Amino acid sequence: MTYAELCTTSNFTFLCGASHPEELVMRAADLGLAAIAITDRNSLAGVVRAYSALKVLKDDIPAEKLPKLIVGCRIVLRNSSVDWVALPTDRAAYQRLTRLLTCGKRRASKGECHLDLNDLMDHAKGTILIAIPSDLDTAQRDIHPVQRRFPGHVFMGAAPQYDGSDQAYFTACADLALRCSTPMVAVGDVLMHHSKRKQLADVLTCMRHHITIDQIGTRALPNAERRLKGHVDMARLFRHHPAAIRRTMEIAVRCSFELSELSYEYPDEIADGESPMARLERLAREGLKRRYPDGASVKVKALLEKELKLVAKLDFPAYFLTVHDIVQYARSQGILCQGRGSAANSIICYLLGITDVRPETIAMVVERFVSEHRGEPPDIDVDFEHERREEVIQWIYHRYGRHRAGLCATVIHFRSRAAIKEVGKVMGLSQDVTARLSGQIWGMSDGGADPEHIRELGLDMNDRRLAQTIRLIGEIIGFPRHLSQHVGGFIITKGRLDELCPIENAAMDDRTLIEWDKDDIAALGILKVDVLSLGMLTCIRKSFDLLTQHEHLNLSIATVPQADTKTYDMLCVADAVGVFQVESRAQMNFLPRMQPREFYDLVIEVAIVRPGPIQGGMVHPYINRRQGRENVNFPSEELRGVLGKTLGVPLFQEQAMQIAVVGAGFTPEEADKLRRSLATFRKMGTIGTFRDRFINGMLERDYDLDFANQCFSQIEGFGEYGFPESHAAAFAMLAYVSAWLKCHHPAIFACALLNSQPMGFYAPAQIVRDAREHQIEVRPVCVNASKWDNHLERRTDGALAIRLGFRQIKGFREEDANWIVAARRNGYQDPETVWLRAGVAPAVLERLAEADAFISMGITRRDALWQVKAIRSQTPLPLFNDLVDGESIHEPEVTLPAMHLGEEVVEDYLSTRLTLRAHPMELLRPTIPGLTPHDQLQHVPLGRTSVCGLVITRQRPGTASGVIFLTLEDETGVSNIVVWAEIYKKFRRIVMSGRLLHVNGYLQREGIVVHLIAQSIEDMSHRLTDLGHPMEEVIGITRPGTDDVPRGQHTSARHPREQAKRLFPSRDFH
Amino acid sequence: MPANPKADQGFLLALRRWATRYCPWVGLEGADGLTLDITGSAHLFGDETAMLADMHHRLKRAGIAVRIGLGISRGSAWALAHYGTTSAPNDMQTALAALPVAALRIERKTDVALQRLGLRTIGDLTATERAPLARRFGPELLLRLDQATGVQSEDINPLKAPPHYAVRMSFPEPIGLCADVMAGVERLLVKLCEQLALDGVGARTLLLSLRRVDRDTQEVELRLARALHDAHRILPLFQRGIDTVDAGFGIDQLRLMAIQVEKQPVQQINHVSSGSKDQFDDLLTRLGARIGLENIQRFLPADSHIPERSFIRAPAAFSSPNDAWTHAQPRPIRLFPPEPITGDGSQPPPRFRWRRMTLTTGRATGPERIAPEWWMADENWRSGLRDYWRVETQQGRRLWLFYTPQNPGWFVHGEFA
Amino acid sequence: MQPKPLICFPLATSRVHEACGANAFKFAAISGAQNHTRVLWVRQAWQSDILHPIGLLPYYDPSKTLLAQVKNQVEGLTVMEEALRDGSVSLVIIELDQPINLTVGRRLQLAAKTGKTTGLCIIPEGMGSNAAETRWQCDPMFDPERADSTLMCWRLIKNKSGTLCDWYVRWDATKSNPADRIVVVSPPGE
Repeated sequence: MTYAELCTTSNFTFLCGASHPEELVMRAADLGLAAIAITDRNSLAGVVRAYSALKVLKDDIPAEKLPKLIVGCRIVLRNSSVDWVALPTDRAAYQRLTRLLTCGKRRASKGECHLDLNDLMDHAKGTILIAIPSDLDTAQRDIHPVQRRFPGHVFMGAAPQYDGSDQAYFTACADLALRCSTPMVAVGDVLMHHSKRKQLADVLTCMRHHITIDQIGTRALPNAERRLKGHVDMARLFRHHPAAIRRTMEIAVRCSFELSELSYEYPDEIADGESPMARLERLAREGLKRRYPDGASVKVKALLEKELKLVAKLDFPAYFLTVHDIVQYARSQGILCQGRGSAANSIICYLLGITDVRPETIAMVVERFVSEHRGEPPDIDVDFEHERREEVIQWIYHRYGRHRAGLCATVIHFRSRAAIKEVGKVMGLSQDVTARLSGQIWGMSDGGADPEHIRELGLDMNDRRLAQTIRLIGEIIGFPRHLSQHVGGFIITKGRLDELCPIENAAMDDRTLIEWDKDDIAALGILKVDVLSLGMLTCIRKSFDLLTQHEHLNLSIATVPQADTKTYDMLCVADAVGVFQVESRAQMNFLPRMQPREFYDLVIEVAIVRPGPIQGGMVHPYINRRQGRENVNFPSEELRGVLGKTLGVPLFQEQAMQIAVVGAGFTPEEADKLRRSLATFRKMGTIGTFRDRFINGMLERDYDLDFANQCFSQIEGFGEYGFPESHAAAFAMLAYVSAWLKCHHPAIFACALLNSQPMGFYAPAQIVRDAREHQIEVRPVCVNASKWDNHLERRTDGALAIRLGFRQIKGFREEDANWIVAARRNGYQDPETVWLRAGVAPAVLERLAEADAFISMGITRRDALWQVKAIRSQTPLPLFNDLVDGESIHEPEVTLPAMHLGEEVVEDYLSTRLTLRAHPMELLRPTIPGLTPHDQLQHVPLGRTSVCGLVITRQRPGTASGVIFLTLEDETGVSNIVVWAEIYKKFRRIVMSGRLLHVNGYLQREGIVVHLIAQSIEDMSHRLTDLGHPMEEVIGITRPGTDDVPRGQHTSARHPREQAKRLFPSRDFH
Repeated sequence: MPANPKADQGFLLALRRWATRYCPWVGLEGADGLTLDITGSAHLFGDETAMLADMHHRLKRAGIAVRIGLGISRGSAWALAHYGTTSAPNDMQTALAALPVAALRIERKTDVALQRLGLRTIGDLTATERAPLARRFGPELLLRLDQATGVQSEDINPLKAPPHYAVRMSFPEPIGLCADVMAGVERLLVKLCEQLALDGVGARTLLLSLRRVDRDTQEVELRLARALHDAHRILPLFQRGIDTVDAGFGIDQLRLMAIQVEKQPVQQINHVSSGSKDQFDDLLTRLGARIGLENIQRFLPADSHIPERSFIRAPAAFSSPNDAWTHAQPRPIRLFPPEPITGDGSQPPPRFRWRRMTLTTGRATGPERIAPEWWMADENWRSGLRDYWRVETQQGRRLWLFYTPQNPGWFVHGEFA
Repeated sequence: MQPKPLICFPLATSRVHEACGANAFKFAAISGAQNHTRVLWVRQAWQSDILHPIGLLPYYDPSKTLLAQVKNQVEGLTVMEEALRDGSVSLVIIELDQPINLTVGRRLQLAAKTGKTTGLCIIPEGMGSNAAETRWQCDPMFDPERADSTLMCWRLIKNKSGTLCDWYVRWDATKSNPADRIVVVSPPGE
């Protein structure tokens, strides 16, 4: 005899349950429970986690020894004091339950669920209902009608209270059960898998109530007894009511519904009676003619036949057709898109036009895209232009209906920063301390608070409360916090979506999302289409449009000339600002070493500069082999087949899996489990057994231990950060196209890039700088020439110049820009006519004056500002409408001092975040002796060198053990600075918050890549005041994409003069 | 050092009092400055320069760093103190003209806008036509400019001293009898209470100083259970304190001060209930005078699972009753420091010795498991969580026992009523 | 047999009484439950046990109890006397650990009379004062019949104005009428 736990609250009852569903399931297995029901409050969000965990456990433990998972939830009603644990017995009952939850969620705001007893009555047929009364005296009234409505399905749950009155309480429950005719069943009302989670449970309670731990009082759990318990413990508690224990088993047996039954039917939108498979075959063959006008090779044809057979076998044709339809729609609207993902680089997808990457160019293994044994659906993500993705989403809703299409959820987890902030608040740390603790966190992190930094902050780790706080922060990281909308994971069903999963309202109007995230969806074998947005596609489409307009060239991604030497030449010298995927600091340093000469080199380039390969230590071996400094050899002949294209170094996720198969003797199924255990279930700690198997497997096959260990650590690195080859290939395609555009049509590319902002790595200032370095004229914003977008102007010498658009002006609205263009006629004569004719508000005129947009009228910025400041009213008076040259009230002439260059530069930054005049460093250089400009770094002798420049990027990659990479921009270019952890420690504040830095250090050169290894760093930000403008702080503001530094730390260094103004600089006299 | 605005403010007030040595009119200037109107006072120190030198000298000796500006108006003095040189300038207009426009006490926004137009100094502004300036920046800017140049006058708001409640009487002949002292105190009390009532406050703590002819001073402090301004109610409460005074060769002066006062709202006349309440408050005051007001306590509910912390005792005079007592499980009427008994295992021992009695367990109810409040370090709970049992002994006594599973041991913690 | 009705309880006002035995605290609590608006409980501060208000809860609202923490018995008696005389607290309870002499006893009686109040001294067994109006020996009894029993035995062992007697008494907190809460029962086993 044993016990089944029918009432557990996981941490998917947000801020309440204190254990992951995975932990509950694992603990249930350890305790030998017969079954466990995950019953979150009005939610099924956690059940799939438990289901997946059980699937992983099945690899090691025979299924009969594992607990059975019962799907259910705890229904909390608005008008009843009794909670109901609802456990559907079959699929029909499950569908009623999801509809019940959907109904409650759709009528409430995001994250809530409003249900009444009537709703339960309407939806609970076939569902076991266990009453969890909060007050035995009044419960009968609520239980009775439910019992009458669902006879034989209603039970009285008795949960121990551990308050010394349990036996009396059980007796009272049994009594009530008798009166209500609802047999009594034992439930644990579990909140955690282990007693060690009590503290966290209390902290969660505090978060829920917005109180600190010192205010928690009796809201704290009195003890840790609400943990999962085994049969022996429960039987002892219920020693006088053994039937209540037995009944748990009876109920468990009756609940026959399993999540695996959600055999999912993909919509088959049949066109003209044609079956999906027939339609797919027809479209593929049509594609064959289009893609290979000269006739396809035998190999291609064979590949197609093989894939079609596989698709037919697995019955996925409808999925490909759906993606095809979506892509077709986008194409018909001129929206650029490209597929990626494991299935996207199949020949079918190439033929259907879902991707433009030729499948022959990559080493794709055909079976990989739909692995039979995995039973997992193929994976196709489609990227769309970021500005137009919404059109596609609306079309999908329109085509399939809201009752059949919905977005996946994304579970928002506690990460370091939120954990520190929220746990710190509960534990009573001052905001100052929590701010300082999280102020140490660069970028996104799950590492919690670093003990070393805590000491550096002068906090005492021996302090009990602090130590507890730090531990709890570590514990809460990874806990779900709330559900949010996935960026674009659509799931489309044949039947009703709300019978698959509860649907809730998203924060965004008109959006609904299902309760499960994409991993859950994948675990259940449900197909989804990722409709994602990609800024680069917008940029490429805009480039193509400009090409048509100015060069009469009609291009598409597929027709951009391939294998262009000049393009690769350009990439080899790291001239890659704006080029997709390879424009980052790390990529630009890698390009000259990589020397890409063909498309596959780009695929590798995209894949290799990633945390996975970097952590796995693959970069150096690969580059050494490529440069011929190391012999290309293979540990074995079998592995030559796997690693041939990558010079013996595993770079892609697929290769790692194949090593497991070929090198360590895993079956494909096992290799896939290994991958899963790495990716999703790291918290279950099953990785160790795989490691042993893997290492032993390789040793048995005569590989040496070092190599085996190295391979495994590479696999570990891939788990989270690796790219599959198909993915890399899709990105490499866009990288090539963007590089080609930049190489052959730099003005067009830069203009399109500016018009697609915000996107990419660099700010407009750097894009404009790069364009000008390529001899492209960039013309300033002009009230008589600019449009909203940046556009191109043909110069008399035939070249194209970029005219900056009004969109570059901070705080400018498109509508105002359009009015200005529309009312321009033959041009405006002065600011006042702009006001009168375009009808824009005086504030808009001020923006224009600040942007120096009146200069073409011969009015300086300062004079323009003076003039527009006099315009105060919101709308022009009708009286002045007809005044052509805007003559108005005469006022005395005022002569303002001329603006000098420094002021102009600051004004430029203030208004447009970029300047076409002079780099601030150019103005400051004469007063800062001993500097080497960037363009000299290539030539000066190696040794101590100083550079000074504006901070452009500031990054601390998780892979580089505390090293900070800075790039500093001066008037001649951008220098790379490496700050080792030691030096960083010394200059941390400066590194983190300085805007203009003076770095002294040693030069390091490798080919054209130059690094300055910082020895000392000085904050020169205060020198920016020398530019003579009161708002110099606008210079050197970095953007989040390029700067990992914790935000909110930019304390502009105060000039000593400023500080002297404080009257009481210290309170020493107290 | 973190900012402490309250301490800064306190310091500034102290400095203000000190500064009245230079002139009667001293006002606070923002959160970090003082303004002195020295019109007609400078000659007392020789001249303005000498006065400034005196200020600098004294403040420096006190270790206080200040910036001082002397101007022809409040505005110019502010400007010079914040942005100028500290010595008294000879040519005020020139000195002002060189200062940045921020010295005009204008908003940061206006300051920045002016600078962007190239109008950086007060001199730049005075050289510019006034009408266009007013059109763009409003009249405020010109007002500030005029206040600095002294064209517009501006007042200084000297601070009022906080009210001080004290009365005093001297005797031509020293007195020594308690009754005489009481009579004197009565007259003082009546006067003091008039002042208090006028301001709508009541005394919470009173201090009576009795100066003896030998110049020794005796003090009697009276802490009241609640704020009062009724002389006839306060007077008897002084009796006990005065009894303890050593009059020596006689007392020649009495001084009575209300050192702590509280707002006392005008009371509704309701003699029925307030009579008993007043009487009780007076009893509290009298008992408090005897054993200390804080030693008369009331029980207030507290929110904790820990038995010792599920209530607090608060001084009755400084708290209000709260009857929100809720507790699911019974608790003993008396709690002892845990007294160890012998017992094995997690079930209550059938027989045990406690306080030299042998007791037999007749009935045991439990366990109620209570875990220590992990967020505080409580010495008493170091042995970890406790399983509490209510044990009814055959001998009749009903005890509260607990077992500590993490450090096995049995203890008696209390006795039920 | 019908048990004898309780006499001398509730305790007479304007008098000082004494209680001893293991259940003296309970006797005090039940006394406090008899129509008193305020109860002053005088304890010596050095005592290591503490009075737990939630333990009082089944008897009366602990909010009406005021606790006077005194240095020693002498101070405690002075406080008691002053409070009894004042009259604004209707019941004053003191825990004594030493016998009090007749003079002090009489002063307390006088004060109680002046203030029309009731005094109760919890005394160690055998340390009674001759001045006391009544003295009660209170002992808890094990009740085999019911769990969480409140059964006790009250012996009236001194009564200035009447006879002595024994009662078996239970406290029934569930009764709404305070007078019904003291239930006199037959001796156990009869």
